[in-house]
Amino acid sequence: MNISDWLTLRIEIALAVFILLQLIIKIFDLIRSNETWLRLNIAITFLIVLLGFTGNDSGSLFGGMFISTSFIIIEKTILAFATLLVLMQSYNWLKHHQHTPEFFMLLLTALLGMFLMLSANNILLFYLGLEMATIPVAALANFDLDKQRSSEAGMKMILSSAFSSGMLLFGISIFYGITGTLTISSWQEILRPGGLEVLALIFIMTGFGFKISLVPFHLWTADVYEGSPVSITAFLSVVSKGAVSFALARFLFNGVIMMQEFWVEILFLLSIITMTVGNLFAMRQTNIKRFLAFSTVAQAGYILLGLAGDPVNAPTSVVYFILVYMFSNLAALGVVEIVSFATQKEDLDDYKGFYNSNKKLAIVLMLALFSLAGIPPTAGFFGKLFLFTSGIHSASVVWLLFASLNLVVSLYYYMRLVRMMFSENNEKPLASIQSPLLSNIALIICSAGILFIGIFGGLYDYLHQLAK
Amino acid sequence: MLTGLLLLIPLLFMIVSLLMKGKQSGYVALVSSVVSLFISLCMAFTFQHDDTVQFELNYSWISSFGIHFHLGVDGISLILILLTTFLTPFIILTSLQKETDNSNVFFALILLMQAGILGAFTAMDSFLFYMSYEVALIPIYFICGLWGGENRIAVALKFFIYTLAGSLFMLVSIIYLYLQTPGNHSFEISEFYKLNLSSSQQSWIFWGFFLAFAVKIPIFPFHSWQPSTYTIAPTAGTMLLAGIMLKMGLYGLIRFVLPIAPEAVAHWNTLAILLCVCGIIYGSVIAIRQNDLKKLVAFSSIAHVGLIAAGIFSMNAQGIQGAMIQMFNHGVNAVALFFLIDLLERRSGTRLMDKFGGIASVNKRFAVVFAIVMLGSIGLPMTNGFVGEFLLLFGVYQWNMYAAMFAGLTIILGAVYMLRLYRNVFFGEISEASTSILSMSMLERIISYKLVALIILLGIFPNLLLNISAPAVNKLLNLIAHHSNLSSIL
Amino acid sequence: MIASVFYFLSFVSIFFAVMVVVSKNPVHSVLYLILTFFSIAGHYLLLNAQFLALVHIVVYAGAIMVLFLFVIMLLNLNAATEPVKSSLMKFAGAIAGGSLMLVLIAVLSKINSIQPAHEVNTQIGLIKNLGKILFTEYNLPFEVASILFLVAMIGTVILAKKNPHTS
Repeated sequence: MNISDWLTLRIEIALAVFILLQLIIKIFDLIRSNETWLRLNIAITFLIVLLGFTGNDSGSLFGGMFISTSFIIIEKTILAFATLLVLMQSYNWLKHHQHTPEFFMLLLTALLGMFLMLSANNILLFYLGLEMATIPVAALANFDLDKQRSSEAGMKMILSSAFSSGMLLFGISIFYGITGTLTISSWQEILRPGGLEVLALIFIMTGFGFKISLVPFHLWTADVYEGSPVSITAFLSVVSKGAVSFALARFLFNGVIMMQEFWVEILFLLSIITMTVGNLFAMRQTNIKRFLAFSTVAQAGYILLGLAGDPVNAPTSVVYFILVYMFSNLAALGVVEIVSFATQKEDLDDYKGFYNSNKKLAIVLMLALFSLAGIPPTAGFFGKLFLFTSGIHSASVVWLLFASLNLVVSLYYYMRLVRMMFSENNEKPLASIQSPLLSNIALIICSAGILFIGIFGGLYDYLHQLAK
Repeated sequence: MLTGLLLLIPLLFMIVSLLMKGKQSGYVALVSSVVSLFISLCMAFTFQHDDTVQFELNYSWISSFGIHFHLGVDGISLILILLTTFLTPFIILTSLQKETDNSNVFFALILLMQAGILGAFTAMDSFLFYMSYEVALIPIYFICGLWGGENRIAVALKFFIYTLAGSLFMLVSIIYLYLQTPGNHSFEISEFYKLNLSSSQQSWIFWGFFLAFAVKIPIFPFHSWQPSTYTIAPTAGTMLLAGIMLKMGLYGLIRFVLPIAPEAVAHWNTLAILLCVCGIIYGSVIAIRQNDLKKLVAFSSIAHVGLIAAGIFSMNAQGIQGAMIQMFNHGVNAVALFFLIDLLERRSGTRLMDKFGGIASVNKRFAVVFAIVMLGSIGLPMTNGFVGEFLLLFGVYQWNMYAAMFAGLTIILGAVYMLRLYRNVFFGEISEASTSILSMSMLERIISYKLVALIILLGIFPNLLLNISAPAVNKLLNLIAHHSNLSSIL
Repeated sequence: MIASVFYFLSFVSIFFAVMVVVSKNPVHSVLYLILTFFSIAGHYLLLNAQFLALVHIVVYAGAIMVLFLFVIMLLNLNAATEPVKSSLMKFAGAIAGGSLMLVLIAVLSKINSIQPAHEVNTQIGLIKNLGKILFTEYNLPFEVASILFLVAMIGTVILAKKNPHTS
């Protein structure tokens, strides 16, 4: 391996080195203060984001096991950036946590796992990456160590992810049996629609369905999102979901593109029930974290619609949507985190009159909800628009109709929360909250993203260019 | 260049106004609106009176989707631009009359809305049109939801979801048309004009757009958001809604529905005009029974815009030209009426008709101003309303005589409710509420005289406006006639 | 000869697997499960995968099952304490499982003969060969797995070492 090969791997190597370094620092107890740890890790994540913008991008290493293109690097950078925002928002919470260094090790390893998963052209490496992206997060879900709910969340997460990995592995082994190779990109030459192949595909889709919490594999989502610390909820709902969506897009278009007519059918069914159930359940939630959990379930349905496109537009629209969704969801959860840290209140009713006591936070939350609902001119509108136009490629009319109807339904419940925030009568309104500086910066970045990403349309063109 | 400035000025001043406090932000907004007015007048004077698109501005926006930031002005849009820039200073002046909480946000929202509306009127790209159409909606939602009257939050939400859901159908139609365009696809409106759609395709497109615009205008069964929203909204909001915003729907009918789906319009316009006529009669009859002045004007507005929409659906030169000029006039009249009612309410604290009486003997000047505005709204000769309603009725008459007869009821019923209002408020015994209207302030006088002057000026010289839009309307009719199947129908 | 061993092993593993589910006593279930694992290890041997067979016995039958037994005995679970499931749940489970079996049988019956996609190295399952390939061709996944285990360890330690003051 020469230098340029190592440079292709630069992000992963840097991340792995940082993780091990932190372990050593922790063992010898070189850094005591939590704040130093926090600053160090924010700097590291920022460095990882920067690394995404440097050097040569394409390459294939380890006998084609690890591949890298500009498009994959962009995906990784988006995930790293989302992690950076999550870290900034969790500053307050982590400042007083007793296991802060471990938190970062787990979080960054999950990120490393996602990177490997995205770059994997070998199903074994892919699977390892997927596990590495899940297991640490399950431990993180349990990180509110003295809360019963948090333990419950960690337990549910690990069980459901183990189950889904089992499904995934079963499908993978059938594919391996048929093709005799672990290299994903050479599957497309061998795999043709047939009974066994479809069966394996269904198993694999089930596995993916668990990871991005599609209905009917979503049952763990709300409990885990509610029980976990808010930062982890944010990480799960944005970074994990985004990474698996990217991976799903790559798997569908690189591995099993020849079976497109079958997996479009699967996507169709999953998408429709995911959107509908997600929306209907979101409507009746009273806890804001559960509310956002179900709304993210519904959002996953739209991602599936986008995946029904052609090999260029579908990944582009998914990546674009995830980017937008990252800003929107992190803004919403960022506000929830500030509120829940300051007041311990997480009910929707507590947000009545929120505008009167916390004008700025209310406006950020409102922007986020607008974007999640897809109201123009926020970025969320563009994200949904591109998903829809991509999906038109092979989606049926029924599918598009369901998606549009669901948009209207979701509009209702997002606006209901906005309405609550702006109404006046609440006997116990939230106190005026002083939010910490780093959270504020993260929220400003998110709001700017929501407002301007859509309007500066060059970004989509750029992604489109890379996806070709 | 000028079009770009027209959009940029309100947006820039919006930021400045957000940074100001109290009344200052209002003055900033006022300056902005006057600058916009000046720019639009420059455009009007340098405008070539032909059917071309002028003052064009075309940048690529999202090129892989064929979306362009394409602005341009033709005769049809110029009239509506003028309407917007003429009315915004009045609207801002009205709001400056009283104290508003968070006035910097309030005025910034008004400016944002102006930018959105101007964007919709100048957009030559359907995607840009859709965006602007929605951008204009968000500020008005907050204006109603934060500064409105009783029950404002529920009403504003209803209005918001109603309109947004309606425009979803437009979005679907636009995307459908986009996918029909040849080659790499484009959202350009002029590309849509070139499409050769079958009649069933046209029907779908027609209904998609119709639903969106019918909610916005509002046409009869889709109007249920309108009276409550007009009533709860602060006066500036009502003026923006009735004076300018609903014209976006009418403009959309002319810009999209007629030229893109002419066969479908020819096929469905019986139903559409029927709905419009229902709206005319319904709105007028309800207006007669109203005691709340604001509600009365809101319902009369349903009647007036119903007539305008009927003129557009009649698909002839008189109908469309009448719609053009009446859109302008209705805007001026509605703003003037709401301004005067706001004045009454501000002074006396009520806007119920039976609380007033005998204002004519308290304040003659006010009575005269009100009378002229009212007559303009009824459509008396020499006032602006006359020309528009005449042309509209003429257009509808050419399409069908009976429809025109029923549509003509708008004038008679309009006279009934307006004169009833006038009798109750201005004649009879002097009530307690009326005594508060002793005098008008300097500013109020200036505003009302200017509006009255505009009403009379346009009543006498309607050609000022008609000449602007005539070539563009002719071009539109040619475009419609070019659809071969249609020549037999027209 | 090999075929009859295969059928015998298959019969044994399916039989014991059914017994795991059927038997009321958890201790018996676990013992049956150990037998099932042994028979599966036999399958691996048939496939010339010595390493896998060994690991299977050591890890599953040895370590994990012993843990299971410990837990069961410590919690003193027996037939009486088994929670009673409603008949509806049983019914739904039977239908779901039955449908899955139906689908699997339908799919497998459609396949006439399974040919290997390409020539397979029959010696790959030997410990020496496996070690070689793991450190050459599959070096990256191997290293990745080591990080994964390290982090899994960290996570477990954190969860096990809860703050004594609060919990």
